Amino acid sequence: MEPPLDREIFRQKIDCLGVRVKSKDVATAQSSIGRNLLLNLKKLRSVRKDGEDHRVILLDPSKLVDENLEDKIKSIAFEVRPEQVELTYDHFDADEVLRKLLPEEVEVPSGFETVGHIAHLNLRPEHEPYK
Amino acid sequence: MKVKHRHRIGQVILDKAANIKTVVNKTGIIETKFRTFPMEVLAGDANTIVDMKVNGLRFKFDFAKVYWNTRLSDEHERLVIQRFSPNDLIIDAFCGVGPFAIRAAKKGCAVMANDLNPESVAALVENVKLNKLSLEDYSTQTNISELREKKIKFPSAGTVQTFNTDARDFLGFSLSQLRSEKDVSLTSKIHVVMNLPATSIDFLDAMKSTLNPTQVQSPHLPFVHCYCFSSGATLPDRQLDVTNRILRNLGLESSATLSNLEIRDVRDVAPNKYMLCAHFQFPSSIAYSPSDTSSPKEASVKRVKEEEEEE
Repeated sequence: MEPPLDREIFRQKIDCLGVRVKSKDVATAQSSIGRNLLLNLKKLRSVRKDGEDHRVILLDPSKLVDENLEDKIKSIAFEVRPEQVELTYDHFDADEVLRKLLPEEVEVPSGFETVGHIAHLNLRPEHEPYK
Repeated sequence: MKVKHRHRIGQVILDKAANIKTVVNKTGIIETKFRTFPMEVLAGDANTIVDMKVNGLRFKFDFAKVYWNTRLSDEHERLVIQRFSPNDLIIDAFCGVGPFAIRAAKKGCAVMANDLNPESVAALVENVKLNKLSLEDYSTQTNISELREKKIKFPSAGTVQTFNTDARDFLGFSLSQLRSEKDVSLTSKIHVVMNLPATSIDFLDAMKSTLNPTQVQSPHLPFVHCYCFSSGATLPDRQLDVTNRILRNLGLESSATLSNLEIRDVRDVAPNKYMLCAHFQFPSSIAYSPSDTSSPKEASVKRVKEEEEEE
């Protein structure tokens, strides 16, 4: 029997750094830091509101492994602080969800036919390699 | 394998795909008579009645009971836009729920549309009305001899006549109507659409000996648009394969040439399997009924000779 879809397995908290700046300075701050260090997840805003006049720019934790980068950002006299991002099932697209749900050896279905409101899949055992 | 996880796959697609309310899966192979397949609902609303707009035209049908292929929408447009003109007569032998028929009627063609599947024809009839086209519904008359006796007049431009009979009977019937029709405007073309790729070529001979040379002279012979499959590795291989099969079905020599012949790829169906369309004008050598090609005097001389030979 197939287990039911468990959407909770996608809930995760990610620790990252945030750079707090005045709202009007967001664009310049982003250029100084460099686009490649900014948190860039689909469906997630990388700039948070912090009171009326301030914003927090979220940085990609995987890009800040190098200690020097963290110091570099601090040295440009920005206020840097730890932040937390919570991701849920809604933040991932179909491919990402299916890749996580399905066993490694099973290929994620590549596409389907759309007929009005109907998605027509073609998943049949005889076309699959054993397993 | 994917099928073990199909309910969750269906649920994810339902959650993530825009405008999808129902996810279905094929559970068996396509059935040969009506080209439908068994299906299960994996997620969402168990409603298979589709009501949609495609290129400005409305199509409503039960996806579980008729054949429909979204991947052919471009081809439906292409055939009508590029090859049909207003006032042309279109004979669609495997019309389904009407993707070609309705498009053609919207363009101002006169359409005779037939399908073997009564569910498809019922949907076709409704789709003609939904698209505000004129309808002449003959689908309740499935007996071809009774249809012939009715002496149906040709449809006018923008009208769809609907039929629920076997394609072989329908082709013979619709073309031989031209024999008795006095008002056929011969400045327009006659097109025969054969959209049953698995077997279209096998039905071509149903058009042999159906026409009258005084009604339909050779420049006005029907233009056939015959969809088929081929597995030749290159386009020239596939063209040769399709040409040979057409000539064989029509009983012509393999060296014969078909006039206005064009064979083109439509889409890849599976590895090594392609769908093509063969366009050609029906050959005059086999289009006419033999009793019409000789004059009455020649016919009686022939009969006397045959009687002499028997004695």
